[in-house]
Amino acid sequence: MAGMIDMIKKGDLDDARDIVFLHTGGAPALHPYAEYFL
Amino acid sequence: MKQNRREILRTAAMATIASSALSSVAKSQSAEKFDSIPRVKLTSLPTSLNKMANLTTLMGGPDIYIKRDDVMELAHGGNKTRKLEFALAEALMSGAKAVVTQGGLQSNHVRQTVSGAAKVGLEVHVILSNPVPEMEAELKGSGNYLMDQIMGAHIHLAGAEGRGPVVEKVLADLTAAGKKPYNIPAGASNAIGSMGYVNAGRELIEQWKEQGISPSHIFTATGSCGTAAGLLMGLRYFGNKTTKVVAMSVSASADRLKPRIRQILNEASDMLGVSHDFVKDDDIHVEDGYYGKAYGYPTDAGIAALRMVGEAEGILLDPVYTSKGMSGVIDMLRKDKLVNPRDLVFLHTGGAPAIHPYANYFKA
Repeated sequence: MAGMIDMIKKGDLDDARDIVFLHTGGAPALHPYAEYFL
Repeated sequence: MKQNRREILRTAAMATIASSALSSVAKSQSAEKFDSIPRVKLTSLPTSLNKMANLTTLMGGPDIYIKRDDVMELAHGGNKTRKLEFALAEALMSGAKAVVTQGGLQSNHVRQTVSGAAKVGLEVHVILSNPVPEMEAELKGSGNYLMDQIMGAHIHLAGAEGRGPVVEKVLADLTAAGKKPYNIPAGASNAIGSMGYVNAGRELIEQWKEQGISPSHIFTATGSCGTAAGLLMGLRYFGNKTTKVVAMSVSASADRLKPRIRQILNEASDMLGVSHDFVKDDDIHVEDGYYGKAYGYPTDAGIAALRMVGEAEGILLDPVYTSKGMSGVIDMLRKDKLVNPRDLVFLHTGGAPAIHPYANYFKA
């Protein structure tokens, strides 16, 4: 997602339309990484 | 920037409310009153209803089904998503720019409210208290509390004074700031929230018909009572007169829960235009033998039930609600306490994110 946002901001996707991001899951790993957020 | 973005989201959500109200024209007479209540779509419905074939075999009794309300599109899902479809619609229609709610540090309701508010463009303030003082560090270290922060909640911690005064102050401050705050009670367990489970009742009747089953009982873990009351009302309102709704208490005695269920039923009756005795007192069933010490304290039988369903079905229950509820269902089946059980349904109300702060209960 960080990459997609960067590409949009830099104009790399200026010709694109109706972009789809595939959420492949993985949110259970938020918990062991909690210190990055709290 | 943030305010402009929220304005756009609110306008888009309002547009979906208007369109759902129009589509109700074609619905049946009995559903008309219900379908006129504004609702904002927060997830795809229906949720799955599946047979737990392995658990059924293990128990050696009637078929056991599970209604997967733990799988919804507000972050990690759960039963509050259905309630918020109605509560947040009311918030948007009232012109609110902020929504306020409350619960424990690991409240699943709060997490879903934060998720839903983000989606429809409402600023969200949550007032949290700690129901398990000895677990302060764990309850603030992962799970729902972590997710609330990630999704942009304004968190207000309540101490010994309780949540009430903090809620009042937050509401007053937001009102003074011109944000017209909309207050959702703990668990969204009021009449408008219960409409989410009136809707689930209609959905279940349809699924039972499709699958050719006729459940004798449906079980739901019960804390603030809105799900149990709404589900009971929904089944009866849409024509099911026989399936017993059994509220499996996770926190209090039947003496305390029954009046609360009655109260929400009465308020829901007013909203739906039926009399208060449309659902009779003897149609309210509460089992209070399985909640253990108190809210937020897992039981040994609950942890065992959580592991059993995990190993047998690959489905994760939660340590605070559904594990206690399921432990009761298992116990009643083993002791042959259910009258003419058939096609039992367990409503999975979600909550698995709280497994993480309760990890110590599962370590070998």
